[in-house]
Amino acid sequence: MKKTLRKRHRREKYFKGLGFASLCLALLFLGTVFGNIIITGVPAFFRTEVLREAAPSDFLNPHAQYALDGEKKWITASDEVSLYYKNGETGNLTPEQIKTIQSLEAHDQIRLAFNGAFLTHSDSREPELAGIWGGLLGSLLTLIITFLTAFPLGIGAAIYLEEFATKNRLVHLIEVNINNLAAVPSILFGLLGLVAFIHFMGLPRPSALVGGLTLGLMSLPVIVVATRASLAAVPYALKEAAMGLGAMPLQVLFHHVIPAALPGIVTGIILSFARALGETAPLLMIGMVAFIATPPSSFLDPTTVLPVQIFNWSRSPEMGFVENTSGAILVLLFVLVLLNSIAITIRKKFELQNAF
Amino acid sequence: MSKRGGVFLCFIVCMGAQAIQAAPPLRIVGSSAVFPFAAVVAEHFHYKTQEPTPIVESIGTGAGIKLLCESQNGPDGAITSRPFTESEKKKCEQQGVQVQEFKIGQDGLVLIKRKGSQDFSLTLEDLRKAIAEDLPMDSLCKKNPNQTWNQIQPSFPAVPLHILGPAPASGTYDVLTEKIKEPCGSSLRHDGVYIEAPANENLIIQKVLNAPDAVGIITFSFYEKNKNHLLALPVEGITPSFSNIQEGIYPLSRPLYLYIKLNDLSYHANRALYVMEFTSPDAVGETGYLQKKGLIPLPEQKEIHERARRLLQVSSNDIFLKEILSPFRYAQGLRMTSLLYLNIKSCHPEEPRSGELRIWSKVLYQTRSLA
Repeated sequence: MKKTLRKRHRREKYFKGLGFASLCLALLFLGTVFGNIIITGVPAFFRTEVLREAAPSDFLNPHAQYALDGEKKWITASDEVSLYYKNGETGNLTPEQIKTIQSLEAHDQIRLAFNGAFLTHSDSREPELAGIWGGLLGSLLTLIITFLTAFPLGIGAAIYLEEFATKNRLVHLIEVNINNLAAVPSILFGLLGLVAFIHFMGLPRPSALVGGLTLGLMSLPVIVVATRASLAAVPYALKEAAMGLGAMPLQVLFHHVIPAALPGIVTGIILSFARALGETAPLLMIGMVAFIATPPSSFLDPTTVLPVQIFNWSRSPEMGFVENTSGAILVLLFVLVLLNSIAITIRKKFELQNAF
Repeated sequence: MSKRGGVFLCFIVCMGAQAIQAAPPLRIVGSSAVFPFAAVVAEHFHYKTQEPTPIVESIGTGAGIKLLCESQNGPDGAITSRPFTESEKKKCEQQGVQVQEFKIGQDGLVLIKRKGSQDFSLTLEDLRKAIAEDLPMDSLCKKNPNQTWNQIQPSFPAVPLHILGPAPASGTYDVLTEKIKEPCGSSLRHDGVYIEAPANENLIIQKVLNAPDAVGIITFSFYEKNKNHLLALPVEGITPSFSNIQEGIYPLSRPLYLYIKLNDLSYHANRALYVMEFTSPDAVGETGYLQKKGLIPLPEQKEIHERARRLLQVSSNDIFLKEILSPFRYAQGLRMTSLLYLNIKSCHPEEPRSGELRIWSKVLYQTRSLA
């Protein structure tokens, strides 16, 4: 008796330990990834500046000749100078140039400053001048379209399937298909978008409209599945009680079932939008992988989104894009965390409302 | 929900109305090897002319040409790493798409060794045997078994293969894979014989200088800078020199092209401006910004630039002919264009270097506003 008890306790301890170890391992991976991104990405928020009159002209960024900053004294340094000053990488600098940088350093004619341009500028082929504003704005516009298509369609389909549809073969077939679609690789939605929106409907190619519609198609099944699951989780007794008091089916639905299911629905939607925000593959299929230096001003303008910009930067041969890539990932992660925290807040709020 | 939906709808309509007013930017599509150059030019073009920054898409040479020739609207130009094939030309003609070809430069790779180590001359076949992932053997494609140079050719030194070269992100990598492509695919070895060095050619040079047996693959401009420490291996018996690459004799090089659409030039005059910037001495000259990014200029650069200028004159002239004068008074239009050009030039004597483009953009702007 005692022996088996000890054995069972030991087993429990092992199992606990195993769980704890896997948690630690996961945290270790997460820490490595985040640590790496933060260490390489934070320098992107600082830029190297040189005094205009002190530095030779090939130390200035290639666009300094156009005097975009007016007559400012401190000018953003070129990529190579910046890399040497920040990380000590000699890159393609000649020994004389390195000596010049060191003398600039000795005379306080070179400095690090906060790189606001990284957030407010759009894409550039010069890493020291490139920023994420265009991508961020493109992501926002794309997400608005995604929301406008996926939200009403998804919720409507889910409510119909769960509450109104008679359970026949056709409905069953649709259900199975939606469940399957939720697991389809996202690149296939890119193909669908390419054929349906660009080839067939002839919508403008790298635009937020097409991107948003494609991502909307992608998030649709996920939203339907999540909404249906939370609708189904509403206890039947609640409906019966409402109907017992003489409520019409529509009243039951809107006054009782949906409010009770709302936390789950909102969570599902925001999570699927968070996924859409980070999605790259389908957007590559519909040609959003382009160099676009002007931020979009409408849904029909040529647009790129933040994840695609990250993908583009990571393919660039210039060394300066390494830190830019990580910096942009940091911003993307921040936006995702923001979205998820909004989801949690909303869920908490509705849960409290329904608690009485 | 209905209220919020209405707000969104209004938002879309407003945004759409805005889009109709703005002038569309140029769209350039095509090869990933030319993409970095075309995008850099796009930015300088924007700052010099105040036209919107052209959109450059890297979708591959073939897809780019297809898109260019699909319709008379579509993209304004294609960047390619090879000239149009006959069938592509025919397709273009069928759709009524007229294009003009501009060679914009040359891409070249050099095989380097440390000075003082054993020199030998390779053929492209030898290079393929050294770095290709799969090789044809008994009419099948099999994993590359070669581990030392003398396994490839008995006359080569008996040292292990150790090759450092460009990484897949770069256009130079494409040149390499294109040259060794046939017949077993373009993938390079992943078993440690071929080492990819990401975009730091100085690193390759440093490694080659420290290892007597290593062979590095770098672009020509870097070889030029470090010539006194390095040895360049001839390929097919031809040494990589500036003139050999410029003339396209050296096998590990290829010309890069820009094709520009000629349809409706009076409306799309900024196409000619873009070509003008691409071929200008500011971009491809001695200290041009494209040369810094690794493009080798062509010997006939000046003539190409002249052709771009002529295209610009023609398109500016087109505006005159179509919108202001009757189409038969060609000479008068040309005279007016050049008068306008000289006039604007004299008004802006202080224009910075390569101010010609800025003046031309003003000419186009003025002719457009006249029209």
